[in-house]
Amino acid sequence: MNMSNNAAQPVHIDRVRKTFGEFVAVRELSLDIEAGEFVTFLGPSGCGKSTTLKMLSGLLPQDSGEIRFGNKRIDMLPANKRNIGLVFQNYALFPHMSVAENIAFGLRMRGWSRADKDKRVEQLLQLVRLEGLGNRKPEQLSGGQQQRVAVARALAFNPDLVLLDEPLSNLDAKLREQVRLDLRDIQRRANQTTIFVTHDQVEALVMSDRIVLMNKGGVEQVGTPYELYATPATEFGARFVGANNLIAGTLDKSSGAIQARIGPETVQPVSTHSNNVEKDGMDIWYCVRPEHVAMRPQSSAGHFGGRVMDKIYQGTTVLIDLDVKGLGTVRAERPALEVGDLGVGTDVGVHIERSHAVARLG
Amino acid sequence: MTDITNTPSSGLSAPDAQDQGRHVSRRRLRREKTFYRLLTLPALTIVGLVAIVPLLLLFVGSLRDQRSGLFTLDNYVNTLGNGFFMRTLATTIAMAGGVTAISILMALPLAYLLARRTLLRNIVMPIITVPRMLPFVVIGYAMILLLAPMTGVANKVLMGLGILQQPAFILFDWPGQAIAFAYNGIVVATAVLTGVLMSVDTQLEDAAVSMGASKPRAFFAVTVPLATPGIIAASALIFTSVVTAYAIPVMLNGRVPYMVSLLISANLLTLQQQNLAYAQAIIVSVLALGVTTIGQVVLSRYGQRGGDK
Amino acid sequence: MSAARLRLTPAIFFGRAALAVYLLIMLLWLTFPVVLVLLASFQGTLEVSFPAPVSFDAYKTIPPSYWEAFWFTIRAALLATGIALLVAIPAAWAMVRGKLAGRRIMSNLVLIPDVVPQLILGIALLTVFIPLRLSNSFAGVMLALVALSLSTGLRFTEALLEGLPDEYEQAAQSLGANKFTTFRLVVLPLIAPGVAIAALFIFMQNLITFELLFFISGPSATPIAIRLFSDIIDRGIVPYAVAMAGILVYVAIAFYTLVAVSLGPKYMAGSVMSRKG
Ligand SMILES: Nc1ncnc2c1ncn2[C@@H]1O[C@H](COP(=O)(O)OP(=O)(O)OP(=O)(O)O)[C@@H](O)[C@H]1O
Ligand SMILES: [Mg+2]
Repeated sequence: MNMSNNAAQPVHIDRVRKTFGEFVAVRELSLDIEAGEFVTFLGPSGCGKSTTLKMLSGLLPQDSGEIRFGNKRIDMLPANKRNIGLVFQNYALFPHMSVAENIAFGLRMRGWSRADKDKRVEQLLQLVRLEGLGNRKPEQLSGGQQQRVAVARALAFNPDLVLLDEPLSNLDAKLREQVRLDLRDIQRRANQTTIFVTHDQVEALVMSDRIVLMNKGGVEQVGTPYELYATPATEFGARFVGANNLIAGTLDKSSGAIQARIGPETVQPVSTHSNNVEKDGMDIWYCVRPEHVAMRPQSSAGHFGGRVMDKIYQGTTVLIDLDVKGLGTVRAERPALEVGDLGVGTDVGVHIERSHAVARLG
Repeated sequence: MTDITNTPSSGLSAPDAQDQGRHVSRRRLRREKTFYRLLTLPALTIVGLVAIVPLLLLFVGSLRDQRSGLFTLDNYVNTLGNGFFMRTLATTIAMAGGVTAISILMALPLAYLLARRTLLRNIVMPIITVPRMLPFVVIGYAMILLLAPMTGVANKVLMGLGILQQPAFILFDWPGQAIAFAYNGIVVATAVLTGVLMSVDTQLEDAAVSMGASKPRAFFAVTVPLATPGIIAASALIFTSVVTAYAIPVMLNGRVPYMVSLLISANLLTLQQQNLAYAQAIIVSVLALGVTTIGQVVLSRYGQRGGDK
Repeated sequence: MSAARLRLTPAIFFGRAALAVYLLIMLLWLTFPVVLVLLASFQGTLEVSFPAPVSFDAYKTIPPSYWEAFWFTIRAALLATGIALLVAIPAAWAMVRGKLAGRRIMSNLVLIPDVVPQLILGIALLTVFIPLRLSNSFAGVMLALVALSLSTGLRFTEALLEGLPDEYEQAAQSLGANKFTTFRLVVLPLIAPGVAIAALFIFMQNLITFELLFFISGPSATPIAIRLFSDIIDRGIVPYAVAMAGILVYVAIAFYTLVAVSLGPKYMAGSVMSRKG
């Protein structure tokens, strides 16, 4: 049976804006989403993720801007005419209806025949692997099962777009890991254009085709998980996604190559995200991921001198706080096997394998 | 690699299309508001016609001279300058205040026990709820059965025990009324205070006890202050119900004490001084609403701890 | 802590005894009206004695006018409850969800009949009902009760809707339901149990309303409470009136049981009933 959404259309969000009185909740947000794409809005609490979803779904009118599915403008339609599936943080399954009735609700609103409805509900129960539970009431399901019913309900009527607002935050850690793979899998099989909201960066990295990194109502960066991780565009991105050592420095382009100058004598090559880090001499953060801090025997050449200050064992890896000459305190994360019984106080050579620069403001 | 653009997309989002879209959605929002307004309309109409307009007319009537129909403050001046009315009002207030105080004092320990002992609460709740589902008249009947001079149970028992030599004639005097009001007051106070005390965290009291306070001391030092908003709310409820009570004063009345509701109805029905009665009714409502409002203000000032939860 | 409490010093003993006496007195005090009315109604006399033969004479002699008043009250109370809820539920929904300007004012206006003393509202209604020929009529009594029930009903349903997360309605809308369908298929079923309880309380309140109806009722429109009242004024206490009072006690007990059963034993920590005197 073909589960995919054949009529999938690209989604265009064009300069959408929302204010609450003086407060700007969402600043001119523009984004084009391909049909079948899985896009995640990632950002800290209060940055306007839910507000954006509410505007897309029609539950909150935007102040300006427009939203289109393909060529069709939908932002003037009421929520019930938009053909958008919504999954809420607490699922909002109708407690007085069975699982099947919940899933069929959108079909019922669209006047599907009894037989078609039953068939479609069966399909979806299969898709979310809840066969045979159609007659249960939502309260008789576990949290993970409820979550999947909510997803099935939002997919049932072949929506043009599915919006999920932190749908995993009510699950315990173990289940969350399982469900995010399930969810990703369901989305792929249904070829369903999807926007997912989370403030958990791991979730975003694992699940998304692309991530929209948001902060204070604005977009900081849009890119694939790899791009966000490897080449953050802003200080916020460098701090928010993954662990990072941020060391104040300036940009040095005097030699032609892009380099970071830290303190009087240290100069290191860096990558940058885009043309916003370009001016020679501008203030930058020199960013180093802990896993790119390698340690060598002290004797070898081409490295900084450093000393182990603290060591935190985490199972497969060890966090090591190093005092590095010319850089200051730097945290490294190395495989436990490699670190061995390296003691606190040991002098080591420190090699920076990769580094990146973002603009430093203020 | 970035899709964020500040250039408008082609075709559809030309400025006029943008305007048109905003126009459409604004019209939709207006329609929605109208829909909601329509839903409130029947309720507002009914209350308007069956409460607000009559009350306004009552107020206007209170400002008119009965014979000439001219606007005047005479009804108020005459009422407030009338010694009999003022004495009656004072009696009523004294009765209401006394009943309120007694009701709260009697009910508070019981409410405390009910709030802390689930079993007792489950037994007693029906006992205090059923009377509240009875017309006050039925309580009046019970008062007569209890207190009637010759046939009343109380007199018979007390005389049988030799405590009384002759029957006490309290039924059609102020004690009879006070007892009837206090009955209702205690029922109301117990119900309200139980709810309030249940929402006071028992751990606070335990904390006080652990710091060396005796149980009663902890009760008065910790629980009572926390329950004060509830006590005030219950007091306002009891006070106003006594001030504006009608059935009990008439049923159990032997002219003493003359309650203000009787005075108003006498002016209205028998003495045919409607406009005067209106003014008096307004004065009594202002008193009752004033007390209720003070209760509400205190309640909101001192936090939401009380109330129902 | 409990070890200390177990030691029975004289002070604790007397404290306990005083508490027990207090509790006994309060329980006697709280139960006496119901007990006395029921005893008297089964003795057929106006004097409660003990022991006494049980007789149903008082019940048998309840005159038709009493039954008329009884059913009159039931009819008016029922109709008023129905109308009030029919009007109050949509209004409450609009007020809670509609984001209307002046919402507080509107809901306070609807609460007026509940806030103004019943005696005063009754007098006010009398002044407009006389020229409209509504005093001393079923319609008049019913209308007055509708106003009162509307206040109570709105307060109940507003609380119910405020307690209902609006995600359910948003979910329904996103699935394609319009406002009306959302209300019918989602809101109404979800608040129905609460509304049923509210209906019971409003009906009961209508049944016992006295001061509001005293001035606007009359010989051809007499609620049972007023019937009982005027008989005691005209005739003094009579056995069949006590029997009718007994019947009202049964109604109250039946209602209490109904509510207690449907809400479960934990209910009524004062919340529902404590709001009104
Ligand atoms: N109705 C409203 N009125 C006023 N301010 C609002 C309203 N709704 C949201 N806000 C504000 O807008 C900002 C963005 O809210 P939003 O719910 O979109 O955040 P979020 O990114 O979803 O955060 P979270 O991760 O906590 O859910 C917040 O600062 C919030 O306080
Ligand atoms: Mg949110």
